[in-house]
Amino acid sequence: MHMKVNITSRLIQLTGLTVILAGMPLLGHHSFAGFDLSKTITLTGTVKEFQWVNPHSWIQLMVTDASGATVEWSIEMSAPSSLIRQGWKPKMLKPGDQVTVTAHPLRDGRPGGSFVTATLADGTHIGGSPTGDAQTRN
Amino acid sequence: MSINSVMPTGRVVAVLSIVPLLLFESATAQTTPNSPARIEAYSKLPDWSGLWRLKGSPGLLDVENGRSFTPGNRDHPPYKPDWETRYQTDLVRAEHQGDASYPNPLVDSHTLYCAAGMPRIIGTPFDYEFVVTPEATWIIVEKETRHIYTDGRGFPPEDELWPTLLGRSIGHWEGQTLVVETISVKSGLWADTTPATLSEQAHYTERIRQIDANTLEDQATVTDPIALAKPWSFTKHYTRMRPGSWAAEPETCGGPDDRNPIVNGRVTVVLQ
Repeated sequence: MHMKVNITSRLIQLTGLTVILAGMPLLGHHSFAGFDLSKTITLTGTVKEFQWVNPHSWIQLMVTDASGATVEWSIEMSAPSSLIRQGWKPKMLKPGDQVTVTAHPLRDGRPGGSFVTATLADGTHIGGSPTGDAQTRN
Repeated sequence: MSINSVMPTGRVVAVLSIVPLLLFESATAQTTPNSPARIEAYSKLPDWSGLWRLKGSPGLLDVENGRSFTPGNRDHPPYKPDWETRYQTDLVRAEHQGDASYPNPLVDSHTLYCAAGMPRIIGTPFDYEFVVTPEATWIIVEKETRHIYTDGRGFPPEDELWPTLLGRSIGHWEGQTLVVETISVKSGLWADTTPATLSEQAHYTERIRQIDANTLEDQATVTDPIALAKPWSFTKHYTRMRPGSWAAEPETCGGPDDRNPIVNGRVTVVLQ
């Protein structure tokens, strides 16, 4: 298990999914002002918990950092109803699953991020960005 | 005299158990059927059933298929100078709404009220349902419902009006176009994903119509003698979702699963 952090200001394109960044992603009730949408990090780790909850779902991901310490990352996703339209299922992730997640990191440096994409153990790429627009969430 | 004095207990129970059935039967018999006139009125209305989704990015200031803050891709409310100055100030405050060190952040009204309100409800990322009847049309957007009365009533008298999130709306049909007038909307609501606000004197006129099999259009014009130097117009489109789609579960605000609480006037993110 390892952590790989790649910071880039470029738009990310993955398997038919284009995530377009907005300057102020306040699309629904909940603001994403705490996340730095100009940066994207990649995290590979072990799922501790997949919280399929209203208003927003979360992946709790255990990631080993460069010093060998295990850090719990909180990755915020969109609402369950939005996720299911993008192919997610409530039990798609289980504790112990190995996944790679891309996310926009918190501005304050804490181990949290706004979800962009996930690559599951079987190679499946899937989106579910809370900052995706109405069409990509449809 | 008690009922027990004239009737055996078992029979009392039997009689009492029938009473609800008799009441139900009575209520059923009094149901008012649709009159031929109402059926006729219904038949002239458009069928906007199903779920609809906004086309393009949420918000009212964005050109469709453009994005907020993309140069050349952004409309702008035609504010009077003092409102323009405040808008520019609030833009900066809003950018810091999640910043614990910023002295005077401004949190999105959609977050504070857990509701879009007018006019932002015209451009949200949530599902839209248009329930059209002769007397009223309801536009259901997540957990907010616009009540647009088309029964010929006017607005309530001034002394019965107070500013609310969605205001008061009346409408009428011009052919297959629903013309909606809305007043008495609370001030301070963000019209967009930016802090574009209007005064309580704002008057909204919308023309909602179907432009093809799978597209609804809402042309809106706002006049506001306090905030705007001239009328502000914008148009939004909605695409029909696949038949049989399930409406999205409304998002909650607060509660044990909400990890984005507002603390000290700032947006926060709770980690675990």
